[in-house]
Amino acid sequence: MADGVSDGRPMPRFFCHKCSVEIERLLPDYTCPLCTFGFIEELESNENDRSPTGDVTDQDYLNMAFLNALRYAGSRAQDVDNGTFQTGETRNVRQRRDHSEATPRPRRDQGEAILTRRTPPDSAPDFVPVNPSEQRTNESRGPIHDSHNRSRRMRHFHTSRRPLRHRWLRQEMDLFFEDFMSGLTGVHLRLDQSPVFDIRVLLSNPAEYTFGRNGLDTIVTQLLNQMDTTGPPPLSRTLIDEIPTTAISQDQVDNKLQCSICWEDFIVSEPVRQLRCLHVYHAPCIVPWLELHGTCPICRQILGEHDAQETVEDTIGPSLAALFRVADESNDTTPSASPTSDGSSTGNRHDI
Amino acid sequence: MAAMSPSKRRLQRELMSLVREPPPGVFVDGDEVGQNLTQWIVHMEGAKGTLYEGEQFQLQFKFSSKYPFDSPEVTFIGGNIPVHPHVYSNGHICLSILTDDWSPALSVQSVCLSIVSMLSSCKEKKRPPDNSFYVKTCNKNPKKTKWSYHDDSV
Repeated sequence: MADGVSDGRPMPRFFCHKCSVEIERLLPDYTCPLCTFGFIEELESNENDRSPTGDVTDQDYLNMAFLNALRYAGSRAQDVDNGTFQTGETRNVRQRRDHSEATPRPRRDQGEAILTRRTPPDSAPDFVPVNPSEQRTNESRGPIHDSHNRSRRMRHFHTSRRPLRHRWLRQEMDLFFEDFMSGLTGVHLRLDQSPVFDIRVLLSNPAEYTFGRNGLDTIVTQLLNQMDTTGPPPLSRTLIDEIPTTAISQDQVDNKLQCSICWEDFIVSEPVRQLRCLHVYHAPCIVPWLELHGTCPICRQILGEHDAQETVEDTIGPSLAALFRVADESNDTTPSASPTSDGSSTGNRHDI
Repeated sequence: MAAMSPSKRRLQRELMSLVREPPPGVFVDGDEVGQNLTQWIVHMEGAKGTLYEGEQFQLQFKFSSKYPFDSPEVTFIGGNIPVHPHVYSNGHICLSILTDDWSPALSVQSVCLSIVSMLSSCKEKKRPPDNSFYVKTCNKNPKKTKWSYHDDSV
């Protein structure tokens, strides 16, 4: 620390990403004195690097515990499916944890071991000598394309200048998400190679993300919204088919009665569906609605009551099907029932 | 008109009705909306004798191709978002007929009337208690919010 501090103020430190080294001073135009390129990063004060214990909080241990518990659960499930999971996962945990231990522990101990380790090792070199994903890549692959190799190295050096706590959690997060995603998809993907996107941008604190304030609620909301099943449940197909068809009377036309869904005027003798509440609609208007929600649009009477059991049973399937149908049909023009309609009476709608 | 989808036909009818006989305090520019029937701007003024008297508001309606089976997405927009316990500062409105209680027999006009009425019955101008949290975390589309309706008094 002393080397970085003068007059009580930390000296600015810089890192050249082209040379991949820390540099003492900059040229006046903010370039590297070695390569004269400008890909320079000003580093944070390095005090934290030397005192890892002061920088790792209880919250971090909770996060670790959370990650490990999930990882352990995930790996157990994966073991049942296939054996491929174990190699990468156990090896990586050991690499970081068991520098002083020659014999690997049984898998069962992993979560517990990390949980009970209340302080990370004191000296940074002992603690984070390897970027685990890097080592794994080297083992599992033969020759690596040069530019790829280079970018990985840059990232490695780059992160190794960060405060220790950050690095440590980051590695845990990497491992966790590789494992988690491979558990989900059956494909072992590596975050450090993923060209498409970095899943970590979605994340803050993983425990909070899932179970924290409103976290679970958000997920449930999201799922419900995907189903689009807010509001009353749909009416079953049988009940929809049972709705009687009647014909429009002269009286109704004289009263300028309209279909409340399409807003077209009814015409004499036109066939319409009449609900229990006596409200009438064109069949192509009311049926798609009832397939979504089993209520009268005008008076909101619930139509499915005396057959509640059946309604509950085939709710979701028909509901989704109805949604798709409505979406489809809305792209077509109406083939239906409304040759009148100059739209002149729309201000006078009569709801029965 | 013959080539219009059912939702467009219905919107066209609603527009004609609203231009011809607008409810008090509600104004819609028929030419402007006629350009794009799926997104309307409705101008609204606070009713006389209420806390919002003299204020001008703009409501934006967005309609999906499933309208009227699917409710419109309705938000306040522009410089003056009414300060009301059910109106978030981003313009989202907590009103059950806009989601759970939507019915295809409702219309732009009836939604406008409900909103005017909601504003008019307000006793104290204030934002919803969870305004800052909601505004930070919500989806752009208020219909994506799982609203829980609990206050029928305002």
